Amino acid sequence: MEDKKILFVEDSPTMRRIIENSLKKLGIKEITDAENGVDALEKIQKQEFDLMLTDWNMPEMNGKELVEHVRKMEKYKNLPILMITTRGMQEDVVTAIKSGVNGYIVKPFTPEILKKKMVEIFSAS
Amino acid sequence: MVNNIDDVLGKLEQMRESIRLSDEIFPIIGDLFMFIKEIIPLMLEINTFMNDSSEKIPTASENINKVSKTTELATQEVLDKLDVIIDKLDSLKSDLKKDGLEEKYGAVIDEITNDSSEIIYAFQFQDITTQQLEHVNRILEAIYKKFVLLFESSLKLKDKSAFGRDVMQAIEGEMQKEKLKKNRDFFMKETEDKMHQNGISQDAIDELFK
Repeated sequence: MEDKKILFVEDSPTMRRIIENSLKKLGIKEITDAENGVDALEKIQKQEFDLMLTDWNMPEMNGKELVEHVRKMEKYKNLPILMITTRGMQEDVVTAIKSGVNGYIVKPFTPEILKKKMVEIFSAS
Repeated sequence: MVNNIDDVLGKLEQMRESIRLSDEIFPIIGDLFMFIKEIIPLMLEINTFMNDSSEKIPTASENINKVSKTTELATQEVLDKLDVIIDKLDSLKSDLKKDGLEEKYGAVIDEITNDSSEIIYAFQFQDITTQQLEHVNRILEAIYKKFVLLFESSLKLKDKSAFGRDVMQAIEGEMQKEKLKKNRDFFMKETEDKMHQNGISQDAIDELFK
């Protein structure tokens, strides 16, 4: 997992620090962050990634819209995507799955949960 | 000439008395007039409330945004400090290793590092509460837009009929009156912003003591 290139998309500066901290603890070296869906789409076109972590509620373009955009890109049709969000209703999870996410975590999360989900996603891909 | 609500209600009473209808229709018309008489003072209250609360909502919304920004900044400061603590603990652990003391103190240092990390994770509450506040803000903004729309619609009643114009003019006249002013003052006091943060600088306060 350490050699994976990860893009995480999160508008909250606090959450960006927490997620970056978690990824560094997992030994991941190539970490790129984006502030919203539009920013992420720009970065994803310039560089290749092995996993995308994304929040849902964000300005400009939200996480669900971002996932739908990414899934339409031939290169990222099968990119593992993990959604980390405050939206904790069953219908939210169903909507996210329909848009194309591979995993879903409700905030607040622990580093153990993040690691577990990432291992699951990489094992399945 | 209609100058106030009492004039409107008086005019209504005159209209009711002047209408001579069959015994069958009369109770229905009577009820209708009763309904109109009761609804007019209510419209006055609603109009006043809409007017006053729509003045308050933008301030409340602004304060919510300030809360989010303030907690965000405070959280960043705490996270900065925690990063420094964790770095210092790492460096301390390396020094202890060099001096052969890692076995004795290493576990305690790891424990403090883990506790610090847990504090960092606990700060996810900041993002969660910010999103909850944003939700409240969206509700407030929707209410505000609806109030403004309702207030504007009520003013349009003036153009619909001569009676509507009389009623609305009377309501506008009543809104300036003393009894209503007391109600408005009470509403304004109840919803007063008691913090007024950044309203005055310390220098300005000290100046007042001179």
